[in-house]
This record gives sequence, C-alpha cells and structure tokens, in this order.
Amino acid sequence: MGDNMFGYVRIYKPELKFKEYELYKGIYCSLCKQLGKSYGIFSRFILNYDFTLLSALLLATKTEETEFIKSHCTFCPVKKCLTCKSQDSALEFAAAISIITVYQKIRDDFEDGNFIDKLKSVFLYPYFKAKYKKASMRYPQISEDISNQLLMQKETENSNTSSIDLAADASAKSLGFIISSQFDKSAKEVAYRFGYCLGRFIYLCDALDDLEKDKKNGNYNVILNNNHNISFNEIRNNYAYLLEVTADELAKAYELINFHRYKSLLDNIIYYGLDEAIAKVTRKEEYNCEKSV
Amino acid sequence: MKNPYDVLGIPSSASMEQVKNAYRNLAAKYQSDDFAGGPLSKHAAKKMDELNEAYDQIVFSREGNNADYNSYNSYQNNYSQYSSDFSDIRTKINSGKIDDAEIRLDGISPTQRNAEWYYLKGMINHRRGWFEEAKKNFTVACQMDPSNNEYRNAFNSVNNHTSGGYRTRQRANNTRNKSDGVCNICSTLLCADCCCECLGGDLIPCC
Repeated sequence: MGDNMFGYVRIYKPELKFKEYELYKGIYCSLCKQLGKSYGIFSRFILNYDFTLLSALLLATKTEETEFIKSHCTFCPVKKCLTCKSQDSALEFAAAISIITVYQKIRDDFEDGNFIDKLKSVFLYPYFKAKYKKASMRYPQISEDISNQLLMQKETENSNTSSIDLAADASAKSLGFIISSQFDKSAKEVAYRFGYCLGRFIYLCDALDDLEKDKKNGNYNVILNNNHNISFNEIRNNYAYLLEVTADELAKAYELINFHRYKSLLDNIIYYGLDEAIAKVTRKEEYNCEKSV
Repeated sequence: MKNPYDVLGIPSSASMEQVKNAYRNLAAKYQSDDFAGGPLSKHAAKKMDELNEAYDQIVFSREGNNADYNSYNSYQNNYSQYSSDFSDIRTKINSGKIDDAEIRLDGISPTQRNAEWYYLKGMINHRRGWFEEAKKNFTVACQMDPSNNEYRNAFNSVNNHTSGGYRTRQRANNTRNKSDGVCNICSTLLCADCCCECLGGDLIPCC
C-alpha cells in the first residue's frame, strides 16, 4: 500500500449530488460502526475508501433494501451520521475483509519491513492477529484465498519479474475472489472480472505512486524494473495508458452487474472517481501544486 | 478408438498437471522441425490430431458436465476438421476455457506461429486480465498482417487512443441522457415562441 492509505478509488465530489454524498458518508459510517461492533473500537481506525467502495458495491447488489437511520459518531459526538439500521451481511463481510487485509499488511511489515515499519507494526501485530483469527473463522475460504495470493505475490516479487501483468496478478486475483465470492453462479464471472480489474488498478496506482519511495528503499517496483534512466514524471506520463485500459475493462464489467440501488453513486466512482485517481497518480507534481493553491 | 491415456503415455491416475505436461512434450515432438516437409510430416500431423483428440477427451471426462464446454460435441461431428487450424482454439476461448486454449496454442511450434497465433494469444491474455501482454501480442499480429481488421480492432481496444476509451463514451452518453429532458423542453418552447412572433403572435410574452 502506498502513501495513500485511504485508498485510491474515491468519489468525485464536483459531480456528486448531495443526496449521493450523504449516502456515501452513510455507508462509510456504517462500515465504521460494523468494524467496532465485530472487531472492537481500535479496528475502526483501519477504515478507508477502498473498503467503503466494497461495502457500497455489495449493498447495491443485495435484493433486500438497507435502511439508514440517523445516529451519532463515536469519535465526534457532536457529529451526526447516518448508519445502517440493523446487522447487515454485506457490511459484516466488508468489515472482515478489511481486518484480514490490514492484518496481512501488518504481518508483512513485521516480517519484512525496514526498522521503522517493524517498529510501527510490533504494537499493532498482537491486536490484529486476534481480530484476524476471528474474521478468518467467519470466512475461512476467502481468508485462505487471500493468504494464497499473498504467497504468490511474495514469490513474484522475489523473482524480480519485469512483467507488469504478472506483478499485478496476485493482487488482482485477490480482489477478484473477494468480490465474486459474494455473487451467485450466474453473476460470478462478471463479478470476478470486475474485482480482478479493480485489484489490478489499485496495484498499478500504488506502483506508480511509490516510484520515489521504492527507489530510495530498494523495494520491488515492477514499473521501475522496466524503466531506467528516465525521470519519474516521464514514467508516470508513459504509463497513464495502463491505468486507462484497466479502468475501461473495469467499467465494462461494471455495466454488466445488476445493481438494485445506488447506481448513480457507483457511476460517479467508476466514471469520475477512477479518472481522478489516474490524474492524481500520473500528474503527481502538477496535482500537488494545484492543490496547494 | 485408442485409450486417451495411452496416447499421452500416462496412467489414468495422473494429475491434471501431469496430463498437461505430457501433452506439451508430445506436441513439441510431433511438431518439431525434424518432421516438417519430410516424408514423415503427414504421419506426424496425424499423431498431432490424435494427441489433441485424446487431450480433449480427458479434459471432458474430468471436468465433464460443465455447461460451457461444447467442444466434445463439436469434435464428434467435425473430426475431419480437427487439425492444427485455430477454430477449435477460438471455440475454447469463447467458452471461457482459457487454460486449455493456451495449452493448445503453446503446443504449436514456434515456426508456425503466424499473425493469427499472436492474435489468439492476445485474446487469451486479454481474457485473463493481462492487458500489457495482450497489447504486445496484438502489436505483433498487426505487424504480421496489417490489413486484418479483427487484429486492428483488438489492438485499438488495449491502446485506448483515438475515439477515447469506453468510460469517456459512457460518460458522454450519461450526460446526454440526463440533460435531454429539460434542454429539449426549453429549446422547443423558445423556437415555438420565435415562430409565433414571426407570424405576428406571441407565445411567451417575456421573451
């Protein structure tokens, strides 16, 4: 995961209606609440936009309607938030996946990270290991799939491959399995394709985002493996098309999924949010300058 | 008909991985340059057909009643067409049998890999989500056969140039659909008002 621990795939506010924004926040807050309920108060800190998107997607494809009610934020009692009325299987699943994913990252840092990473993770490791056990007992199959893909990822990185497709494959497959596991047979293939492309998109964003950091720390970066003696900006420009192609294939799969609700919110993420992510990652210097103004 | 496991030279208890390896080794042997053009080439080709048939039989018997897999029926009817042409590989790709299609495709000797071979390799990679490899494959296919539209279209789909990508077009469609209603009403009324005024009347007094 890059510097962007909140996730790359977000809403694009300028094109979002207020009611869609309220809905998005409601899903975000509901996931927060679910994390706290299932995995304890400290688990709520791992909340991010990628997992919120996962929740939104799953809630949108359920046949039963989800009711949101007004509630209060645990961290900021003055702030009101909309949360899910009752226990929801989609949110439970998203919460479990959040825990599993974060635990794997912490364990990775703990085992292979540099000194600072190890230091950070040593406090978190015992806490999240216990939560991980709970989450993986609830969803053993997907937990195993994710672990297997992580092993594949490590193997691929150790081989120092220059194949971009191979490098992204494990993360892509991981998300493919995660999302398709929540769909029945008729929709599984499309859901898998959607998840695969999304996982690939996120992996590539990460790789492009972390060029400086990975070069400095000597970390594996498949984009760096393919480009020597060329500036980071130029690399980012050259590889924008990679993200574009992946995002397009993602959108094609997206259009074939049956959504019962929240389509306009999801449309915003797919048709504007992804572009925003691409712009952020590939025109980094430009983007940061504009932002500070 | 020969026992397919005998054709591949493996026991019937062999794992799928062993089946695939056996296929690869024999395919490389039957299609090697040693046979090409010589008096034995026809026989080597026949051995290759036999090999393909045996492999398909084993796959069908193991993965059997998968609704997507139609190739067993077609092989029964089209045995005579069952040679190194690419149509059966295309069928496999279309029915989602990517791994099988790839095994078959990779079994074709390097000297026989033409534009269509690279196109089909690209299709397999594209299905798998390996868009970068697909792009390389389609590029070679187009170079080998520049006039082929099928290959050109495939190349364009992984290059995202010209007409903009899928998302750009969808976005344009969405915005057009959203604004249609209101814009149409207003512009129609304005036109009607203008026409009315030209004829001496006034539909909308304040315009």
